[in-house]
Amino acid sequence: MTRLLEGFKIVAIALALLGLAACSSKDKPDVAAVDVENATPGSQRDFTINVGDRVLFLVDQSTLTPQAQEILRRQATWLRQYGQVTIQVEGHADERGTREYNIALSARRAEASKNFLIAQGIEPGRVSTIAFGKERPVALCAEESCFSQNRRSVTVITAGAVAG
Amino acid sequence: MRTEGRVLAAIRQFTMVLIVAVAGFLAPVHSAHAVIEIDITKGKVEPMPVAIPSFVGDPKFGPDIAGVISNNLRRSGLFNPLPPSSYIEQITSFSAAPRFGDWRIIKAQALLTGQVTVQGDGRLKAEFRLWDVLAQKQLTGFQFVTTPRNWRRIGHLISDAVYQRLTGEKGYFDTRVVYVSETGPKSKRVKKLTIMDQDGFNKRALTNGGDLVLTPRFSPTSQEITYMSYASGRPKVYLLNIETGQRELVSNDPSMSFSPRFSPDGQRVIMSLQRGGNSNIFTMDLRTRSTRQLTKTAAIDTAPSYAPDGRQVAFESDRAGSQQIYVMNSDGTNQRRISFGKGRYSTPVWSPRGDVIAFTKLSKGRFLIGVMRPDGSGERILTEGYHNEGPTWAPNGRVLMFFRETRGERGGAKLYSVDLTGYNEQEIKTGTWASDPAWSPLIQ
Amino acid sequence: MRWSLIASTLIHTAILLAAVVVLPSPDEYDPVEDEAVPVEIVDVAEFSKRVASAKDGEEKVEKPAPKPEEEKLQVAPAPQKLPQVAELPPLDEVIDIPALTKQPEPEPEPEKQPEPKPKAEPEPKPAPKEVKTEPEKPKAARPRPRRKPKIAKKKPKKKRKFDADALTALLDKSAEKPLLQKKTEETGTPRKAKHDASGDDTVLSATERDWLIQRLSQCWIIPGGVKDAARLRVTVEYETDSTGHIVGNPRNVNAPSDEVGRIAGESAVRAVLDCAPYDRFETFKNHKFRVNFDPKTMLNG
Repeated sequence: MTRLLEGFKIVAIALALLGLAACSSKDKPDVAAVDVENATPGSQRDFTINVGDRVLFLVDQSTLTPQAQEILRRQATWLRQYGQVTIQVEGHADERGTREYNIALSARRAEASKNFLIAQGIEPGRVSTIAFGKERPVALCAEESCFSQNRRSVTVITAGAVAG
Repeated sequence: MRTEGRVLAAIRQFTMVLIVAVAGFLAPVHSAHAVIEIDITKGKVEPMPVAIPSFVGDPKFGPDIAGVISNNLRRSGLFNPLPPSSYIEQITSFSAAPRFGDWRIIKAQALLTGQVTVQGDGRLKAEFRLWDVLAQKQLTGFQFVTTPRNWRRIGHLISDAVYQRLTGEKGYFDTRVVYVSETGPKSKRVKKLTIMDQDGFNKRALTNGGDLVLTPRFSPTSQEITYMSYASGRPKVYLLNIETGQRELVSNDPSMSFSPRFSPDGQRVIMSLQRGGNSNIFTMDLRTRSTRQLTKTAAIDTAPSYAPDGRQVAFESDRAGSQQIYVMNSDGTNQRRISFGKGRYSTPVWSPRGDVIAFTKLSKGRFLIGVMRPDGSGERILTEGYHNEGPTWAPNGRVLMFFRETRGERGGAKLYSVDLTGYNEQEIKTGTWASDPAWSPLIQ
Repeated sequence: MRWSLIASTLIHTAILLAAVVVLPSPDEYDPVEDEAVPVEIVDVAEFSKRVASAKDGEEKVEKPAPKPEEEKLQVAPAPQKLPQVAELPPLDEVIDIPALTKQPEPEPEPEKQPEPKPKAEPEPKPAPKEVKTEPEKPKAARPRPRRKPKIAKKKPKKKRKFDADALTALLDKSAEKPLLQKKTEETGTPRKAKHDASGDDTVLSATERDWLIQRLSQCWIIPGGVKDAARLRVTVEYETDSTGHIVGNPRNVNAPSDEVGRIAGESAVRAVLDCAPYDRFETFKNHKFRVNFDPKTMLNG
């Protein structure tokens, strides 16, 4: 009987370790698997895949982490290169807050990203903002691993991108 | 000699009897001078058993109206409508006195009898009497006339009359609730403003779901709702007329606007305007269209709520580092924090009675609904769980509605009501996910 | 060792698969499609004008909109007597309910109180337990001898001395009643005066007192929804006849005249009526009662 229990324990631990390995670490930059060849330079996909269209925030925060700043710097570089592109920065919040405050918080996040881009030399007229509060989550599980993905600002190209 | 003896004996007997009689009667009379006095310091705290038989008259409206009343009173948690199967007397006439003994046997404390008839002109006439079963007297009685389509409102008005007569508090049954119905996947909910009677009937969508709509509130004086919508492309505050369906943008200001409420006199809309990452509270006069800025901080100031006398406003602000509740005069002066407990405080809503402010509290990963006095004291939690949010008050300040979300991808929000004492929590079924409830005043 | 490992893995997998297949997935709402409401954007100035004029207290214009109307109800509050019920017999008098409604002996069961919510912040909570163990100590401790038993003893003594038939006729309840009532009429005023003059309280035995308190506590349904418990304080006076039934109407003596005071008085009177007849002990018959209702220890608003 004790041997069976031992077996159980080992299987449980093994499964748990496998589960952990599947989670992405926090320090990983928010860039998906690179597929450089297929994205036309100056296109939406180029922006999303090669630059990174989103930055994440800590709980209740709208300050930009060093990683967020790095991504926004890359965005600014790209936007300087493709000067005809206009963007809208969307702010979002996780569901672990109240509705109206989250609208305001997500607006702050959008503004923070926008201001950083402007400070990097992007003309203010090219950048609009919108706040979605907690209304448009991308990750739906009730864990911090999902909440953290929803605390984000997303830079969306509104016009001027190259097709492809 | 013998007769004399007999007479004497009779007289003696009579006298003795008289003495006994006097003594016998003196005893109770004497003790009746004395009083048995006792103090009763406890009683039964239970819903009052009441009997609500079908109204006589119309075979459909009779039982239906009684059913609306029975349902209302039961859901209030203060009354226990007894099952009709237990009734001994069958009420067949509204003009005869009830056989009180029959109702006392089944332990009813009060009895409601009524009559409803469709008149010659097609209108519905309803009348009712509320009886004290034990004292055998009528407590109140009214008469109503309306169009048949409004028959549910008769039930609600009678419910309010009964509630008030037996509790001393104004009722809340002739009211409506506007909320946001939600359908579709959690990542992209389709949200519609929906209105219903407080008992869940007569549901009607006010918007068609094409635009994201949030946080509606009733006007206290007119058939209007204010709410936030993304119809123009970004969050803006609108007015919607319930009767006509006409919609109006409240402010032409390019800023994002959200979190709107009416002032108690219905003349102004108070809301947040977002500029440059800061959300501040503004009022706008609906006639003159002039705006006034009430808060001027670099913080998030939102979720304003007027006191019922219109002189003060409660709101939430993170100027101190986290969401807390503040109170200020309606002109923006004397802004002071009132929440100091452990946790974050949000969505303050001033009770129509003015005595407490309800709020959502976030603490240790849990969401709680609570109340506190306007000076911040007397905090009391009514419910707590994974996610409870957005309390709204019934117009009598005794019952609240809020929404509760279940977690995960397949989870969603549902409406609940709870008594001010924290008891009698129950779900309000709406047929879809539902959030952001707002309770109307009593219908004029 | 290996066998057990394999076996455990297989069993685990089997259980997981079974769970996936058998357990129902959580609820998902089917969207109820409501009728879409046509919405019209109105010029801002026009709308404000309309809103402003409505607020000026004008009559509600009949709108041709295809929505169910919120027509104003005509509410005609009727007085106690509605015209078509003129034939109703007057309900002023209290009709004595026959003894068939006599309540069974109440068990001294612990009062069931609704549990206060566990997460409630420390606030005045109902403290039923304290109230229960707090009997009328001062009164029960009074050492004065009771008068009633002495009188009761007297009667049997007298019985032996006099004609049994005559006495039976006298002590027969039905015969006694009219005489007693006559006596009541004659000595009504002086009796009242005596009552008003002093608190001439009957001393009850502990058993009698406890029984009466328990009984009335069970008959009294405290009006729910009343915020301030102090407003439910009321005193009711009434009298019983020789069978323990109430004579006349119980009356409130100090209920405030406002709405809540009236409700408090009515609930106390109902309690007193519901507990009749008071025939458990001889003391309660032919007696005057003064019951002070005060739930202040129970309610916390």
